[in-house]
Amino acid sequence: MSETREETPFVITVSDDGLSCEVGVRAGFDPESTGQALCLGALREHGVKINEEVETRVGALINLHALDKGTEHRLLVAAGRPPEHGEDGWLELEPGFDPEKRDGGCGMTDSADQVLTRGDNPPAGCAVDHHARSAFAVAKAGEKIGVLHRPRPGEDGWSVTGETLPAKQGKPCNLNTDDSVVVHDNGMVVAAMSGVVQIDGRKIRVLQELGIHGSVDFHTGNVDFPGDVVVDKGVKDCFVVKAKRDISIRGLVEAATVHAGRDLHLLGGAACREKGTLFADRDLYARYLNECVCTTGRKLSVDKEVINAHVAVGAEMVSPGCTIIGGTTFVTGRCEVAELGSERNIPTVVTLGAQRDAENLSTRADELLGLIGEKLGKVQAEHDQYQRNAAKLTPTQAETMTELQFEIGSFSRLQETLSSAVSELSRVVGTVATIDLTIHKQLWRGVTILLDKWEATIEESIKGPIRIHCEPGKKPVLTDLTSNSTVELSTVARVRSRIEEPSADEAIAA
Amino acid sequence: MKILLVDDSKTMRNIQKSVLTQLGYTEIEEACDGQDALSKIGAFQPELLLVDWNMPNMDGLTFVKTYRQTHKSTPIIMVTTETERSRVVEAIKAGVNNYVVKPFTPDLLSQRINETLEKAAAA
Repeated sequence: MSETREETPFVITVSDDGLSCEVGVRAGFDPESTGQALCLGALREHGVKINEEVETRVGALINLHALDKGTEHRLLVAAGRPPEHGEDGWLELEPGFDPEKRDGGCGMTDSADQVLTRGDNPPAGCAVDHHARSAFAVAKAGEKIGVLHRPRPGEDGWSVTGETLPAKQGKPCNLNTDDSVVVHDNGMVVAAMSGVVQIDGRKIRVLQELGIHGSVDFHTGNVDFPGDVVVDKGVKDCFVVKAKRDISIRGLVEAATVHAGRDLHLLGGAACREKGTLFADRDLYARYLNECVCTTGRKLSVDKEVINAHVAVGAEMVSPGCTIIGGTTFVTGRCEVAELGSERNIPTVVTLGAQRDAENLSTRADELLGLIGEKLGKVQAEHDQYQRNAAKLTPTQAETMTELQFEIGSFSRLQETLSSAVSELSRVVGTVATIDLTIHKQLWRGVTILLDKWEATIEESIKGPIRIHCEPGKKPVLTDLTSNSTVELSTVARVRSRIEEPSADEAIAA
Repeated sequence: MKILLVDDSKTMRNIQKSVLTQLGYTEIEEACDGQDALSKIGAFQPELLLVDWNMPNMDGLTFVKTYRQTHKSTPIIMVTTETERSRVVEAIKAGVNNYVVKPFTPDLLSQRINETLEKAAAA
C-alpha cells in the first residue's frame, strides 16, 4: 500500500493490488474553491486515472470537509475491477463410470424388478445380493460415458491507475482416446464398442478384453462382459462369469456358472461339487472336470480326467490323455480317450453319435405331434358332425363351425411346421453324428456305451488300444488297434437292442 | 391399412384378426357392437370394416346405416349368419359392399376381403 502524508493536505492511499484508492483530507485544511482541483491533481500525480465517478467522489469528499474543517475526512474515491479467471475444460463422467461415484451397484434379492444398476446406491435397509455387485464399468456400444465440457474464457480486470489486470484463460481438456471412444461435437463422450471402460487421468479406452487379476469373488462380483474375459485365478462358489466371446480361467472353477459365447479355456480345471455349470458355444478345453454339468457346441478337450460329470459335446471329444469315470457323456462326433470307467467299476455311461439337446427336442416334438394329432382328430370329428347338418345350422352353430374350421387350419399348419422342423433336426444331427470311440489304455467293467440302437455293457475290462465303431444299420464292432483285428462288440460285451421288440400280439396286428 | 372388426364374439374377432394378419394387415381395431364401433371410428378412421349383423346395443345393419351417413365410400363387409335373400338385399341397400355367410373358412374370408379391396381401389 502506498501512502502520502507530507507536503500536501491530502493523504492518498492506493492498495497494493491497485484495486482501490482512498483519499484523506487533513484536519485544518481549508478547501475554498480550489480544493477539488488540488485533490484531483494530487491523484493524477499518483497515477490514478480520473473519470467522472472519481471526480464526483472527490467533490463529495471536499464538500464534506468544508462543513467540518477541523476533522480529517477519508473516502474511497476510485475502484478497479479484479480479473475474472477462466475455467479449464473438464470431463464429467456418468455416475456409472466415475471411479469416485461408483459403488459397484448391487442387486436386490427381494425383488427382481428392483435390480440396481451401476452407480446406484441401495436404499437403506434393502437386502443386497453381493454376488450381483460388479466392480467393472462395462459400456455397451453407443453408451454415453460422459460429457467433455469446453473451457470458459477469462475476463481481464483493471486497476485504479488504468492498468490492465490480465485474467487466466481456461485451457481445453484434451482427452487421450482411440477408436474405441468417440467424442462428439457437442462434447458427448460415447463408447464406440462394447467393453470395459478404462479411465486413467485423461486417457479413456474401451477394452474388449476384461482382465481380472485375482479370482472372481466378492471383490469383483458376477461378470457379464461383451468381449473376452481372462481370469488370472479362479471362480468362487455361486459366482457367474458370462462373456460374449472367449473366457480363459487360469485357476480353479468351483461351484460356479461359466458361459462363453465362443471358446472356454479352463486351465486350472473345474471342481463344481455337482452345482456348477460350464457352457461354451464353441470349443471347451479343461485340465479336468469334476462333478459338473458341461455343454459344448463343438469340441471338448480334457487333459486329465472327467469325473462324475454330465457332459454333452456338440462335435468331437479328442482327449487322448483323459479318463472318464462316472457320470454321463454324450458325444455327437468322434471320441478319443485314455480310459473309460475305473478299476472299481463305477457306472459310467457314454452315448455316441447322439446330440443330447437334439434328442430331447426331438422327443418333445414327437410328444407335441401326438397331442396335436389327437386334438386335430377331435376337432375334425366335431366339424364333420356340423357339416352333415350344414343346411339346418342355427346362428350359434354356424359360428361354432367357423371356429372349428379355423382350428383345423391352425392345427394342420402347426403339425406341418413341427414335422418339417423334426426332419430338419434329424438331418442336421445326422450330418455330424459319428459312432467312433478310441480308447488308448483301458475300457473298464461297469461302463455302458449307447451307440445307435445298441446298448453295450462292458462285463469284463478290455485293454487298449481299441476302437469301437458302428456303421449305420449294422452291429457295433471292436478293433484291437495293436493286432488290427476286428470282432463284433457282442463277443466281448453284452450288447442288446435299445429299441423294444414288438410283442407277439403287436407283431400279428402289424 | 386400418381395419375395424365389429363383432360381439371375441372368438370370431380373433379368427378374422388372424386371417387379416396372415394377409399382412396389422393395424386392426376391434369393437364389440355398433355403438362401440361408432365411438371408435372418429379416432381410428378405418379404411375397411368387417361387421356382424346380430349384436347387442346396436345391430350391424343400424350401424351400417348410421356410418354411411358420414362415410360414403369406405368398404364394408357384412359377416353374418343371415342367409335369406331379402336380408342380403336389405344389407346391400344399407351400404354393405360384400357379404360373408357363417360358417366360413379362413380362405373364403380372405378371398372376400381381397375382392372388396380390389373393387374399392378400382372405383
